[in-house]
Order: sequence, then C-alpha cells, then structure tokens
Amino acid sequence: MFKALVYKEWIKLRLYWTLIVVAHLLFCVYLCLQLRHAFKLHDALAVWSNWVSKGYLFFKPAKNIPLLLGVVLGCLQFFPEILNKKLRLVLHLPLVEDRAVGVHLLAGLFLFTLALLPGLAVLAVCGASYFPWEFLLNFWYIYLPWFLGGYAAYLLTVFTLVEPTWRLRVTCLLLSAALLKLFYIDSFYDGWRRLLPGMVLLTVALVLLPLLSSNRFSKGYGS
Amino acid sequence: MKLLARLVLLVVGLLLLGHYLPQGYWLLVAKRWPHGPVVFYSCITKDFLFLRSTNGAMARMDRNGKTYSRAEFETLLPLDNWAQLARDGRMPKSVEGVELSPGKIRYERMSMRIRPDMLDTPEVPLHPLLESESGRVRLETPGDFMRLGNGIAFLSAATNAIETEKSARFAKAFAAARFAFPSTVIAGNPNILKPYDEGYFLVDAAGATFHLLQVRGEPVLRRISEAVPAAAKAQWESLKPTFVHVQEQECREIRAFLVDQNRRPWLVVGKDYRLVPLPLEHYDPAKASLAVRGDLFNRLITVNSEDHLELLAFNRDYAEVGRYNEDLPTRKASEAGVTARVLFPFSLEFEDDASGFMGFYLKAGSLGTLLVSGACLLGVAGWLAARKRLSWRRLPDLLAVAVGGIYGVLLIFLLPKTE
Repeated sequence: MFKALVYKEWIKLRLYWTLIVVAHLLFCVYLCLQLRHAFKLHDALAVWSNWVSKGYLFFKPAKNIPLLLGVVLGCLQFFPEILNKKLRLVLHLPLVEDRAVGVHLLAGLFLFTLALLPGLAVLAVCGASYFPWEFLLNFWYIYLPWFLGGYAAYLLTVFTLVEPTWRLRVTCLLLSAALLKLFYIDSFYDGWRRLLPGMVLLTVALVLLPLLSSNRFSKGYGS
Repeated sequence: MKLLARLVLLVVGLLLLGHYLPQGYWLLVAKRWPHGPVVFYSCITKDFLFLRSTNGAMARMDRNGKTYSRAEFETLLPLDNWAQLARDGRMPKSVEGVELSPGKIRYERMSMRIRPDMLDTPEVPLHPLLESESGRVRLETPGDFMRLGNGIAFLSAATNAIETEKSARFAKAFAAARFAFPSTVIAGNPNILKPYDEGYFLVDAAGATFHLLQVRGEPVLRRISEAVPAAAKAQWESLKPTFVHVQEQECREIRAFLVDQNRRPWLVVGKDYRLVPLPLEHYDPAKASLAVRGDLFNRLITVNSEDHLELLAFNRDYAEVGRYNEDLPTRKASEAGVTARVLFPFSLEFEDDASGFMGFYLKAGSLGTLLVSGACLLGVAGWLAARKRLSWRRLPDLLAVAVGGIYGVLLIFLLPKTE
C-alpha cells in the first residue's frame, strides 16, 4: 500500500516536478554566471570585500524559491485531492488515516528536497570555486532557514488546503503567513545560528498540523 | 496524535500572537517617547551641560536646571561650536592660556561609541590586515585576508588560495611571541578612510593580549604585557579582555577600548599602552551603550542604558573632573508600557538590540498579567461549563489560556474546535 501510494503521487507530480527541477537548476546556473560576471568585471578583492564587510551573497535572489516551491508543490499535490473531495477515497483505504496522509506528506517532502538539492549543489560548488570555506559556512547558515521555510510552506499549504471550512481556511492562511515571515528575516553571516535548532524543531512539529485538517476533512466538516 | 497536533497548533499560535500582538499594540500607541539629553562638558564652566527636549522644545541647561539661550550655550561650549562662534566673531582667542585655532580643535576632537550588540555579533572570520607603514599618503586595501583560527593564514582573493610564504612568515612571528591559538578576540578597524592604521588587537586562548601590525610587509606582533613598563605588566597579564574596540583617531591618544573578564571597561592610552580604568557605576556592556568623546581639554564618557544616564569627565591626564547620574524615563514605565505588561503575559522577539544574533528573546509581563490570565481562565472555563463542554479534552485549551491569557482566549476562538 505504501509503495502504491508513493507511486500514485509520483505519477501525479512527475511532469511538474521535472519542470521545477529544470527551472531551479537553470536559475542556479544563471546566478553562478552572475557571480562569474562579477569576478570578470571587478577585482576579486572587491567582490570578497563586499561579502566580508557588506554581506553580498550571490545566491540571495534564490531566497524565496524554497517558499514558492513549498506552496506550489503543496497545491499541485493536494489541490486535485480536494477538488470533488477525492481525498476521501484515500482516507477510506484499509490504512490508518494518519498513516495514509503521512505517506502523502512524506512523498511531498521527499520530492521537495530532491527538487532543490541539484541546484543547491551547483551554488555550493560555484561558491567554493570563488570563495574560501568560510563562504560555504555562510551559505549553509543563510540558506538553511530558507530551506526550513520551504518545508514549513509545504506543510502549512497542505494544512490550509485540506481544512474543509472556509472560515478556518482563512485562519490557517493568516497563521501560515505570520509563521512563514519569520523564516525569512534577513541576517548577517551566521546570525541565525542560535535560532536554528528551535526553528528545526518547530518545522518538524508542523508535520502534525495537516493531520489535524485531514481529520476534520474525514469527519465531513463543511460539507 | 490528534492531541499532540492540537498542542503544536496552540504552542505555535501562542508564539505568533506573543510576537505580533505586542508589535501591533506599540504601533497603535506609538508616540515620541521622551529620551535622554544630549550631553556636553564645558571647558568654561567645568561642568556638564545638557540639551534637553521637553514638549517638543529644546532647552539648554546645566545640572542645576539653570537655562541658557542658544548664544549663551554656544559660548560655554567653544570647542563644540567653534565654527558658529568664529562666524559670529565670538570665538575666544584662548582658554586656560591655551591658544585656540580651528586646526588644533579639529585635531584633538575624537569620538567612539560602543553599542551592546558590538559585543555579541556575527562576523565573517576573515580580516584584511592593512599595511601600517606603506609610505603612501593614503591607506590601501591589501589583496589578501587574514584567517586566524588554529593558526594564521593569508588568503589571496585573486586565486582563492593560501599565500604560503607570507603565512609562514607570520606563523613564525606568532610562534616567537608565544601566541596560543585559537584567538578569542580579533579587533581591528579595516576601514581605509582613517588617519593611520593601528592593526589588530588580539587575545589568545590563554587570555594574553597582543598587538599585530604589518610594517612594510613584515609582521610586528607584540605581547603587550612585555611591551609595557614593568609596573603595568601584572595588570595586563590579569586583564584577559573579552571585547576590544579599535577606532583610530587623528590625535592618536586612545588606542583601544576594552572590556576585561570581569566586564570592567578600560581605555588603552598612548604609546606605552597605559591602561585607564573607567570607574563607571552603571555600565553593563551587554545592556548599555558607551560613548567616548574628547576635545582639547577633556574626555567625556557617556553611558546610556534603557533607564539610566551616567556621565564621567576626565582631564587630559585621565583624572576624574566630573560625574553625573540621572534616571531616564522609559517606555516600559509609561502608561502604555504598564498597560502592555499587564495585558500581554509575554512578548517574543527574534531580534534584539543587545545582540547581532537572532534568538528567542522572551520578555515576561508584570505580575498584574497573572490576574488577567486568571480572569481569562475562569471566564473560558465558566463559558465551557455553561455549554456543558468542559471535559479533559479541553485541557490543552485551558492550559493555553492559563499560560497565554488573552492570546489563549483568542486562539481557542480562532482555531478549530476540539472534538
């Protein structure tokens, strides 16, 4: 049953997912070309100084991509299930309800991670070829909150979409927006270091929220 | 699982309301809060003078409340207002027998400011080490960056590789000075728009303080306790600074400001690294900002915390010539502040003025908030009981109201009902 559900999700998402991976990769390559361009036009010293003293990071335009991807993937995966209440079929499978939704979430989170990793590898390799290892540490500390924000965006999108009543959907939407804003507070170098463990814990805990919505969905609220 | 999910939702909701509601409140009640005065030390009256903003108007006064007109005030502060006085033909020729000239006044003026977040802030651990005696009129940015970790290395920006020959030369100097890696403090001012280069003050793993300069490409590393007169050696050895601030001034008098292991502030003065203690009574480096301002005759130390102003004036030999303390009105003590601390059981911020690092900065409300939370809890429990919905399944909701007061009440009305 687990394999069958994962395969169903793969069939549903594979075209969009492939397009997303390619688009993300192309965007990351574009950012690398921008960096190369900066090094061609300016002294390496000037680019390094901009990074060390002013916090210039060539990958900053990619800031909102995990957020966007989380929302898009959540919509692509669960919108078809909500239309005509197809999700009920899944919830009536001979599988514990939470586990059935859990498999969907797992598939979504896995595809989210896989979609971003190739592009991130390109950014990391490119960064390492122009900057010392301190830059990679910087990359990690700056990008990780955005990445976590992407996971949170996916989970909160599912939480909102699966909620069966409009009144609470609006509440979920407000809560999601208020929470996601926190993942994207700008910080210099490893300014996020002390907050990261808490944010990781918070993101992990968010996995439970879609289960709350799916439970209300299966109970037939709003219909 | 459902109970756990409900708990997560309540905790997240409480955190978010604790962050956004107080922000919204302060946005609504915002007004121009009274702030501390601008302070001067007059070389004429030999006392502090204050520029205070009261009800939107500026008042110039001394510590006894005697007010002065603008012209009188400027006359009492000739070193701060020399350009205006010169324009009006009111500039004294000399003060205390010292002849005044614009060049001399400008040369002796200095200022530096230490904010609490400067003691706890993230930075890229690569430092440009300027050439201190290049023979050029202006300072120039070096082509490499110094990395001080478990050793010293110089990285060339052009090649993104370690400069092995230069790194080895500096490593030898560090070994000769018995520098114990890793360094705990690296303090310098890599700005090239400054009158000269003081290099870096370093503190090694053993707490010893060093002064590093690059002179014509060669390392000059001094263990300061060995470069000072014998009488000051023990003082430097026991110092173990936790923070050093370097800001080159035209007059080259103050070399650095530092905070020692006991959180006491010091100035490092002159060629022989003389340590001048700042005998401040209300300075907590983690909470208050400190400013050092100097002129031809005096050095004025200003400590500004949220609720207190402390002033200390020195003459040029760093002997105390004046001291002043004043409690400041705070936003927290205002009517809106008291209301906020009763209304909101806590407020959560992710950024703080005292640190460059993000974190969960939680501020608790006053004791009065317990009454509000208690009343909320009773109200909600009563309301549930009246509707015959009070059961053990409501425990997380009631807990949220007990902890979060009005946040909790808002949450149980906004969020999905418990089954």
